[in-house]
Amino acid sequence: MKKLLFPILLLATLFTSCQKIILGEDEVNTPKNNFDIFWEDFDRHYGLFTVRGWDWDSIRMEYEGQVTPETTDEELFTIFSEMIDYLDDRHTFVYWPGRKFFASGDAGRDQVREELSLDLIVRNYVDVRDSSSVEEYLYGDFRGRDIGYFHLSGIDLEDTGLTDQILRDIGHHQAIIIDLRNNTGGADQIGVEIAGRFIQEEKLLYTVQERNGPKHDDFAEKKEYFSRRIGTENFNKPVVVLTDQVTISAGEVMLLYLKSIATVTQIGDVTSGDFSDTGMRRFLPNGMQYRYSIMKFLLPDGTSLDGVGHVPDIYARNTVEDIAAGNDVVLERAFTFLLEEYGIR
Amino acid sequence: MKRCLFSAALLLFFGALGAQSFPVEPVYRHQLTLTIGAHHGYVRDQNFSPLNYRADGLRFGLGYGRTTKSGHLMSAELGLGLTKLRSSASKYHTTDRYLIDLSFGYLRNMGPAEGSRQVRLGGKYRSYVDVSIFEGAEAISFFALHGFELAGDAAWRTGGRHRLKLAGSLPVFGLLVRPPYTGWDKFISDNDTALLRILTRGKWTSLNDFTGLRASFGWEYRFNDRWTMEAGYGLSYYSTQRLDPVRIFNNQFTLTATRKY
Repeated sequence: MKKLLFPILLLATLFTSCQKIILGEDEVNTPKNNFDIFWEDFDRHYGLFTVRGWDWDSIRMEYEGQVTPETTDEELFTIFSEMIDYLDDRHTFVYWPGRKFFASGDAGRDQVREELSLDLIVRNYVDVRDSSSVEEYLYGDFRGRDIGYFHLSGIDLEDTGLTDQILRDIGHHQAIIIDLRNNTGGADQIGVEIAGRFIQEEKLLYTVQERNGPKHDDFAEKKEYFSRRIGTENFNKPVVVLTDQVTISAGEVMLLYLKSIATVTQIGDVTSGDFSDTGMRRFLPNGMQYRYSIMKFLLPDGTSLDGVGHVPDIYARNTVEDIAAGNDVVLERAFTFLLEEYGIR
Repeated sequence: MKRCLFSAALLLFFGALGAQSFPVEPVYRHQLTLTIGAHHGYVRDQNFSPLNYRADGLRFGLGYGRTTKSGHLMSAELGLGLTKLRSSASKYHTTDRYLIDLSFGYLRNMGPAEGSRQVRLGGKYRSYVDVSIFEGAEAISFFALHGFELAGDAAWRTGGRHRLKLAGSLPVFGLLVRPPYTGWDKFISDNDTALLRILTRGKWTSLNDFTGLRASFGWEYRFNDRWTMEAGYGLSYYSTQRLDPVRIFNNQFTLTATRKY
């Protein structure tokens, strides 16, 4: 018994203390290794090199020489930020927990965010029926007009059945303005279910393919997505969707559905052009983290709106001065359109 | 590494077979077990992260067994692990890791029904699910193997009230479930409230695609004919190269109370 017990206890001790034997060497925390892991991970997993035509090898050539054993984490973070900024992809980030954060392609968006004021809309235009800062919605009726208003600053409804209630409340109007300006996205499926209350017919809208191999053009089979009616209520009268350059991700996917409807018109600015789901948070030995796009959305004709965005049917954009003067020019343009096109006031 | 683990399991398992004979204890048909323990493990899952992780936490288990007159054992066991993953770069964040271990087994007694030595061999169905979740769902990874194992256990009396127990199993065929190449895809996002669907999307495969091994060693003390307590050590090892390499090594030190009836 004693003979047996000793080797067993010895083995148990060994097994509980030998991480290196079991898992192999851990990644070393040097600037070069962090750089290599970062570049190679993007190279093997990022989903939009071919769609956007980026040359990732050129980025390695440009930045690799800047990384030396003396490179500080501060400098490395700057290098990583510049590398992903090249991708111009707002689904791509670098995090330095507790220190810094950088989002690719976000330059100029702060200005756009100031070109919308919900306070102004509520003060000057809309009688609000209900709103939620958590679920990021607001809806009501335009004063003195036969038009309903539905603003989504995110695609985060906990229960999309709320859309049926919204349509019961404002669906009697001759038109609805869906405001997706400053929409920061959320869950695609929620957007699909909201849009389903406006859909009239089923048709193929887009396909999605995830990156599934080390080559830049390795992708899984296409998964097709169709428009379809959802919910107990349906609105088939004119709809205007307002957008700006912040409108992104699930907001843009929702727009894919809405723009398939003949009675929907997009007014505002071109959207962000970032459709892919963001991949999982990734980790580096120096504690920095990052995320990136992992899939491509294609329209039925094989083209992509990634990096392009939804181009509006009618271009309109506020200035900060417009907002300060109490005018929402984009909203006013929508009123004009509804009057001229449909006689709705 | 695989060779080392296999040798260890063989040593644990077959080293027991040469024990001496002792008086017989009463045979009860049914038993319920309750297990608590400490978990210490290692994970390297390159779908999740290039880093090595340590895992520490708690283990819980419930079990039921029915022994036939011939000494064959039918068992059902549920184990849960609540652990945290930490790496050398985990200054600000840790990762929650959940382990689920559900098994149903049938082990056939290979010797006399009553005696001081007991060896049983048979098979088990086991669902081993290992899920890591970082900061909500900022990063997730999982390894699941729903499979069939060759299994065996052995016990022999080492005194009037105590005995030594060994067990081991080797998964040979099963449904192997791993995240997609990029860790995330539309299937997961479209089914994010249907965890079972995600954790059963995999490939039926065999030893060419995975390696698995489980072994345990325990020392059991009998308070009376119906109650026993066991202090044990168990290990399990899983690895696969599918999509991205993963190695999981779990150690657990446990206390198990058994009620026979």
